[in-house]
Amino acid sequence: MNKKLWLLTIVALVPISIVALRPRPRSPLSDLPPVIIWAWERPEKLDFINTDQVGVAFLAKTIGLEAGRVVSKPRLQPLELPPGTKLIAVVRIESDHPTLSSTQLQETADEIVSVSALSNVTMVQIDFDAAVSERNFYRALLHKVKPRLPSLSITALASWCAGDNWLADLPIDEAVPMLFRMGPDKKHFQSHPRFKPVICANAAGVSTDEPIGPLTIDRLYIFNPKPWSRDSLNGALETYKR
Amino acid sequence: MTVTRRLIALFLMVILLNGMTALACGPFTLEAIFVHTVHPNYPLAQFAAGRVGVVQPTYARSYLYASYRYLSGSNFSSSEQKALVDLWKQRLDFSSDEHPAEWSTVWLEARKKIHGVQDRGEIEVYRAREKPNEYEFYVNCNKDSFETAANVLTDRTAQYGADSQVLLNWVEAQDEVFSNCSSATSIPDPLPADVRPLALQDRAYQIAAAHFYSANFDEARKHFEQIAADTDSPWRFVAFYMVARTLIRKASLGAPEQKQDSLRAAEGQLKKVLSDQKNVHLHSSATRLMNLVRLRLYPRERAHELARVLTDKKQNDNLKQDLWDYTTLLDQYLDVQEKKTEVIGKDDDLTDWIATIQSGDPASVDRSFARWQTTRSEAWLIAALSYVDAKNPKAGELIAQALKVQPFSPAYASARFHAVRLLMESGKTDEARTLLDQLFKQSIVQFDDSSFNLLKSKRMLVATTLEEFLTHAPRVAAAISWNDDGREIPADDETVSTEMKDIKGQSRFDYDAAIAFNQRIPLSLLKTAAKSTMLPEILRRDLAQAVWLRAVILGDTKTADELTPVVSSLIPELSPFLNAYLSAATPQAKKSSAIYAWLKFPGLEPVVDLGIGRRAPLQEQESYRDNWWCQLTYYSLAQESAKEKVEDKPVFFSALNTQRLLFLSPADQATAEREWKTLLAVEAAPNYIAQQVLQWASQTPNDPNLPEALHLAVKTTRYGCPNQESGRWSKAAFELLHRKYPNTTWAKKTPYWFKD
Repeated sequence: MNKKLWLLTIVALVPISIVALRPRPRSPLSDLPPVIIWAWERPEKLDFINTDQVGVAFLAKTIGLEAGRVVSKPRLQPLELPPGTKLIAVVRIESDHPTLSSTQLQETADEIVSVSALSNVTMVQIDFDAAVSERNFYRALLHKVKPRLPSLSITALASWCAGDNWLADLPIDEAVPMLFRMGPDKKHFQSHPRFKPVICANAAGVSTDEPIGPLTIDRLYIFNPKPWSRDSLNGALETYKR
Repeated sequence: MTVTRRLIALFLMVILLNGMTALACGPFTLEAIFVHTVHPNYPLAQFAAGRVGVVQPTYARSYLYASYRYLSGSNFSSSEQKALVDLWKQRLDFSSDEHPAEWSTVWLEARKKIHGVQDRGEIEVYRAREKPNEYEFYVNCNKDSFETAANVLTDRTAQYGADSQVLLNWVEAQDEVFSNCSSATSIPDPLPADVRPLALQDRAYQIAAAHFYSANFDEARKHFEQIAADTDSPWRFVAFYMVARTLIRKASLGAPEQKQDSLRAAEGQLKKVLSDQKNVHLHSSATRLMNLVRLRLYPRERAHELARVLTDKKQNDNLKQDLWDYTTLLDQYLDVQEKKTEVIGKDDDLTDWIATIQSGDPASVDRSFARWQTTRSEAWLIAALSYVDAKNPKAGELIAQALKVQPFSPAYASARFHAVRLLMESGKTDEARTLLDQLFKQSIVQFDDSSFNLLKSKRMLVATTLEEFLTHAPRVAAAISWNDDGREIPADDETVSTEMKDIKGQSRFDYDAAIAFNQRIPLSLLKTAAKSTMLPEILRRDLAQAVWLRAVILGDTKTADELTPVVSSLIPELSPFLNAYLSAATPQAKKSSAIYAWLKFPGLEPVVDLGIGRRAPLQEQESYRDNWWCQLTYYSLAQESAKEKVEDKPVFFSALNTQRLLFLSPADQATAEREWKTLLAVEAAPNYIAQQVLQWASQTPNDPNLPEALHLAVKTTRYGCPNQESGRWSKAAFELLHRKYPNTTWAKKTPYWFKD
């Protein structure tokens, strides 16, 4: 290669390198521990967790979309945590023949954003098994809340991450495919899940009562159908080699 | 590989993955529930009314309670039945008829009528615990607080006049009281001593209430006690009661070390309220609070108290709350191994029964049997029957007792089911069959859909002919459910597509029938079954394609040929390919032709579906890779899962079909076992298909269908269910396609092979 060509190559590569190597804002996701346990709506005393290793995604609020109304219910069960716990506030959305109006959209967005004000919350996670007819609403909702939140995660039906591409352009930082309670489709995903959208690739949700094969992901979310104990957490960590 | 090449490969991979995304097909996790295990058959109102069906020990305890009442010869009034259904609905749907967001409406509407009062929005009734590292909210302002405020407003309006400043001051102070419902602390100022006494007394109560809602419980208690001591105050009685409420709040939300003392103080205060006839209008509320206090202070005693109340035949207007409290208490004991025995008391038959029937312990048979002999209660007979096996010396007597249960008894369905089960286990299959056939001839209203499916399963297993087997193999699901949370709740019609709605009421195969067809019955009999017209058409179609493809894979050309017209008539869209198959001259040509048909019809598989099964048309690729017999790849996993499901629960499912089907000879069984092993040896269908296509290419390389077949063979390794070996077969098919047929459309349509 002659000198001129070398020079041209270098000139072409410099801007690419600058873009590639520029410092980027640190994602809140990178501060999260490798394991997150879900603390659902029941009394949970989690003062035994190692906060460097395990974070907590707690059900902070349940929002019901009932016809034209938005019915919001905060967490009513105790949750005890050690200081320094990395926290994700989960908002569960349940729909019952919703009108999906713009008013409902705005009210739902406000309700979601309000949980980010709870102390020490690093991220908000939305848990909404949106039916196909509710997807446009969900997409609009995510666009509404994203700019008002530090970072945004959603739970995803496993199918959304394997074959269904509707997640691809959503304004989210993370989608967590739920690899449990999948009914007859369990066989598709539990052996060696392959998820298409990149947004699904870094995290997955499993349940203590449905152990699955090894997962190569950054963050493992673990659900427990019973209240957590030191033993059940250690068992889950051992199962998933975390 | 250099870094650059890796990056290029990564880039291509991203493009590839995104570019080849399959079409979404919407919700896909609907499941056929043939036998309910966590709650009875819907509608639950029928269960509440006494259609108990076959009692599953795995039912939640509130259903076991209702079962116990009926099995013990008791029943529920219509209002009690409604209370039961309300409780179940609230627990299953996580729903309630209460809408806290609307509680304040009554107050907001009332205050609007007052001149000079500014509008205000909905009042948030939840307040956070406000402790570091705790994230619990609680209902701070109850519905009755807003109702009381509205009533007082009406009364004071009449006394002071709607335009009076006193009234306006009262409303503003009340607004301040309610501003504490969701957060902060805001206490109305005391009034000067020269205002009228009622205004002073009202303000004193508002100040006490504001302290209560802002969680200043010691201060609130002090103020309420002062009001209670003021013999002129209209608030003295309610303040006396509020002292107890304040203590209970403090117990719930205050320092843990003060909890017991606060509860005991509340108990003492409530006793005083309840013993004072001047407070009689508060007795109902005080009783509810007393129940709550006792539940927390004396959980075991309260559980027994509740068990007595819940089994009393007198009308119980508080049934829902009592059952809620009782089952909550049982959860605290029965779900904790070391506490299980603590809650079982001598005089508490209900708790004893629930603990026993849920124990899963074979030793419970002796205990249940002894209780049956002592009490003669059919509840205990059913508990004994639930765990007894045929080897138990008491089995014979229990069968005899079960057969004595009368058809009008709520225990009839359980007793008959267990009698059949035990007769079968002890080899008395003729007796079991006769019993079942008698049941089918009767109008068996005691058997709901779920319980009926249990009977059908048993009848299928004692079939003496293939025809009998085909009669009882198909079943209608008791529910079509999303079941993503294991709660077996029937799907709401409006969330289910039209296509899925049609499935309701259609016959399908439950686990036992599917296993029988797929693993236990030899091809020779499957052929007869496929030709038979006994099954509903949808199942005939499934069976016919399964048997035909099975014959192809097993190399039984004669059977495949014989079945081709049947398959063709049931699946007309497959006819052109079947005709090609029939006209093929050699066995190898037939095989190639059949493989080509399979490639073109990804929904074909050599097994019948379990439950709803694959829903995409046979010729379409399914978006979630349920193509080309996907389930084979995950067979071991599915087996483990099914095994765990059964081993984990003392539950009566349709049987796992471990026993021999009676109409099969030992030779039939051996043949079926051999055939199934041959099919399992395929391991992953994409590998098998690719191998067959490669063999086809080696024998008739000029076959015009070959390039397309190679293209589809590569596709199976991506859109079917591959295993760790699939990559090499994908690559082999890909390379042959590009080497031998490089200029074909199919080669151009196949830019990649798939590793896994």
